[in-house]
Amino acid sequence: MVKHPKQAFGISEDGTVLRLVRLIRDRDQVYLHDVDRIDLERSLYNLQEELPVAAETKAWEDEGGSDQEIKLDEFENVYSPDIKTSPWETMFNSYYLRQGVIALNISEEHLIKAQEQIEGARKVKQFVKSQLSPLEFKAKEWQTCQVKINQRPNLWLHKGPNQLFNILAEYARKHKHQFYYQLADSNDIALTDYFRVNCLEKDKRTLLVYLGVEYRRAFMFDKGEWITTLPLQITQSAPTPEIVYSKLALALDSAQLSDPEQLVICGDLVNAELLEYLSAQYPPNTVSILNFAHIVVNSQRSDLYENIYLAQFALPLSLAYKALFPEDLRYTHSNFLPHKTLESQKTFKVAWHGLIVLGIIFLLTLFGTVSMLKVSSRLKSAKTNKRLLDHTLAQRRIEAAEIQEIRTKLEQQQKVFEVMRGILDGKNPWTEVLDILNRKVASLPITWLTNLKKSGERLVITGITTNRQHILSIANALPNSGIIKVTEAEIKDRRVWDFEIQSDLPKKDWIAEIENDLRKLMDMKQQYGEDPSQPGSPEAPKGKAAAETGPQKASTAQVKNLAPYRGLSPIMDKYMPQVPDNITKKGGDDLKEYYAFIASINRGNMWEYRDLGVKFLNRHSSGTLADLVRWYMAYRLYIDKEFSLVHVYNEPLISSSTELYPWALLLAARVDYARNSTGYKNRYDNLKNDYSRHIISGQIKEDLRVIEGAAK
Amino acid sequence: MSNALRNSVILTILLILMLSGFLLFHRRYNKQAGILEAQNKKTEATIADLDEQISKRDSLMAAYEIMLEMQSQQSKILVGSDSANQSYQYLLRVLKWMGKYIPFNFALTDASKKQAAYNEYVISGRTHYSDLIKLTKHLEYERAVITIEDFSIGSDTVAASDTVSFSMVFRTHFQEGGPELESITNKDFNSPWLGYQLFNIRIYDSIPEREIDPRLVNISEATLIGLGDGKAFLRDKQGIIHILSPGSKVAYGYLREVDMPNGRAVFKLNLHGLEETHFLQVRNLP
Repeated sequence: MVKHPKQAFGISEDGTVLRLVRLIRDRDQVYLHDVDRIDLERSLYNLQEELPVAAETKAWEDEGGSDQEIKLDEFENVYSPDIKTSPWETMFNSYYLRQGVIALNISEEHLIKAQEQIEGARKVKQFVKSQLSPLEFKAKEWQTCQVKINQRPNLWLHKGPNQLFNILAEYARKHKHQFYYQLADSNDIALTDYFRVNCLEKDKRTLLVYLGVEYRRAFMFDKGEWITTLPLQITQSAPTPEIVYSKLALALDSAQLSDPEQLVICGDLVNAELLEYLSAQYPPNTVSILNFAHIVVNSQRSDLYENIYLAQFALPLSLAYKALFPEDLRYTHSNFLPHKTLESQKTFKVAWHGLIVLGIIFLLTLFGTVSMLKVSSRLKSAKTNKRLLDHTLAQRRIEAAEIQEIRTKLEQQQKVFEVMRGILDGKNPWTEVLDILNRKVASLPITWLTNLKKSGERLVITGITTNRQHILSIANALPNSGIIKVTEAEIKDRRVWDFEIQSDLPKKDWIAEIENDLRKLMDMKQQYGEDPSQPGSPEAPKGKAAAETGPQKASTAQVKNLAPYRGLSPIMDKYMPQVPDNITKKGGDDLKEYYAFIASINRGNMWEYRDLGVKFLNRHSSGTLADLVRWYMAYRLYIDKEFSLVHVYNEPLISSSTELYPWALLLAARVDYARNSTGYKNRYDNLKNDYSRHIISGQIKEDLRVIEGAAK
Repeated sequence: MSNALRNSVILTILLILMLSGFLLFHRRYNKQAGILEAQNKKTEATIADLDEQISKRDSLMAAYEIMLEMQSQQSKILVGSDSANQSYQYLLRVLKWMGKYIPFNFALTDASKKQAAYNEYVISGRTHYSDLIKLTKHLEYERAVITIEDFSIGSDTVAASDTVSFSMVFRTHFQEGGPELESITNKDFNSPWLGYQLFNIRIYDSIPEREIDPRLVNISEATLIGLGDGKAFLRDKQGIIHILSPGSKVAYGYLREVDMPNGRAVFKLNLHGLEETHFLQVRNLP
């Protein structure tokens, strides 16, 4: 039911007459816009067997003729009888029924009024069952309502079809309209409700008389209440005023009621003649026509302003007016619309299961809202926190950039030390050479040098002495020396000996001096620089104590970005050089130092492994372990992208014929390839040709596969 | 289907959609919040790390200043750049530090290539051996990383000469970021031992010209005129008589002894690099 309808159509049938009114409500004001009526040949309930009428269509055949002659179909009258529309369709077509709610009346013939007072659902049900067949009861094509007459509730039962409703439903189906049925009410209830609520003077005994085409009733009101209904036995279709008056008097007598203080008439039979006659029969100002003072006529039709004319529409007006005020409790709570229709119009009806779901939805919404608020608050807090932290971080980074720059310079300085170490290794022995020779020869009388020079990597000295023993003394003072020649000669009749000696150049330990400077720098870095265990360091030390004592194998470094190596992955573990078994079995301090160095290589702390490596090489300049340290140092520098420093440790392995030569060559080839130097091709060719059965052949093949793949 | 049932179905679908939506958004928000919180933790850790570093800023700056100061005091420094001009000027500065003058020829060799981080030069000349030792030590021991790649010393053929001929090939190494060669200061180190002239010819055929104290008598030009009481009496070519006792200096040597029985004086003279014994017999005076 629409609680506040703006527009209502009241439709009533009374015998062969079908009436329609259109009321529009604007707040508390009601406007009458249209009234209409049609006269049917027969009453709707007598047309039952003919309804609904389905228009038959005749199959149409194209008689278009031939190609030469076009033959037009002619209009045939055969279609006209079948396609005629029913009179109510014509009336309904004139109004937009779907724009308002519809109120209609029911047939009084299908209304059963209980004689005794019946209250309570069970008693009502029993009464209904007693009045209906089981099939009718089960079909639920019945409706009940309690009508208060003379302060007593009366149960009214409506059963059977409602033809007015049916033709409306059929019309709606046919035209694909969606109508809203607000009310289906009894004529008695509709008329008495309207009159009681809007027109009745409570201090007067009033008789409301409706004189319709078939429906003719009188309703007695006393003290504002509907006390009884008087059936009028007027059988004539057009009775004279005298008949009406006499029947009315008869009805009052039969009911043992005195004349009313006020008589209000309405219906089809109301006219000026009847009004005049009845007024003459009763005291003055007793008889009047039902007026519609609460309804403002909003039409250009003049007849609508006359109560005599409107009196015939009293029934549809009462229905439409009641439909416009469903919330008004003064009206009788009655509605005889089919149960299914009422249900189907309750779009938002919720059953028990729906209520459960609604409850769950409510709980879910509640829980969800609380939960989402919490998460949202958490997210908002995190975002706010992030903004603050990002801002703080940006500020700190700006401040830290300067520190980082200084730290970078300290690192660069250390790299310079590494480079210097490589440059000065084995260089600048001349002061040492001259000092050794000066001091030695000074102790050998009558001996002098005639020439000193470098031949290749060897020192060559020539000189003269008077004592051959001196030659040996000079040779012994030089490292890895050898006498090339000694020849006899004479100077001023004295026998002298010309000699030539070759030796290695003595080593000057420049590294120690650089180490001293480096140590100072590293002390400074440790005091002010990064802590290796802090985030951002290459790798935190892992189990240092164990690593320094236990056997360690260098593992393949994890490199995320292969771009600096031009796609070459680190050398696989199985191809890495290993400590020979005889050295492992032998053990010793140097092996422990080596393991500590390898552990530092695995940790990847540049400062640590360089320090340990250099210390190891200072203590053990030659041997297999020293070569391994050199190679691993060079390889780690390669992994750390310090390509310029790799050769410092790798070059001695390439220039000598150690067992690590193939690994050194492979590393040199990788460095050349990383630096895009063409030398890598020759190195890989050498490796491929000379070491095809060597342990590293697999790595060589893998490297060549990557290199050739990149070349393609 | 009744409206009530239809509405229940719609409500159920709505419930499912709400539940799905709620779970979806809750999960998404939760995930976003989790990610943000994890990021915040990392950021906090980074900030704490940076704070710690920043707290050391002043001390690090001081350390950096010390490093710069130390750099100039390092035993070895790789200079930032090098050119022939710079190296030549550096050689002159080294000579100034030595307080010596050594004439030498200077040239840039072909070995200096653009790819290498050094320039190679050759110097040659003739100088005192002791000066050459000093120059060598300065080049090798001064702060600038200079390596002597080749070195030759030849003795002078002149008797009793303390000069030598030499040639030296050296490299001046450099690396970007280092100090300029001009800014490097001299370093304190021990002077080389100069106690022996290694290339000095000890025996020679002809007597080299030497500065002799004119007060000393040259026995080759003097006459032993008498012996007596452990003394020898020599008259030089100018007629001046010199009275010598054993150990008295003469040109190129000294008087060893007075041999009275044989009437002669024994001299030890070093004329050709070796100490030789010379005799002067008493000549009767006319």
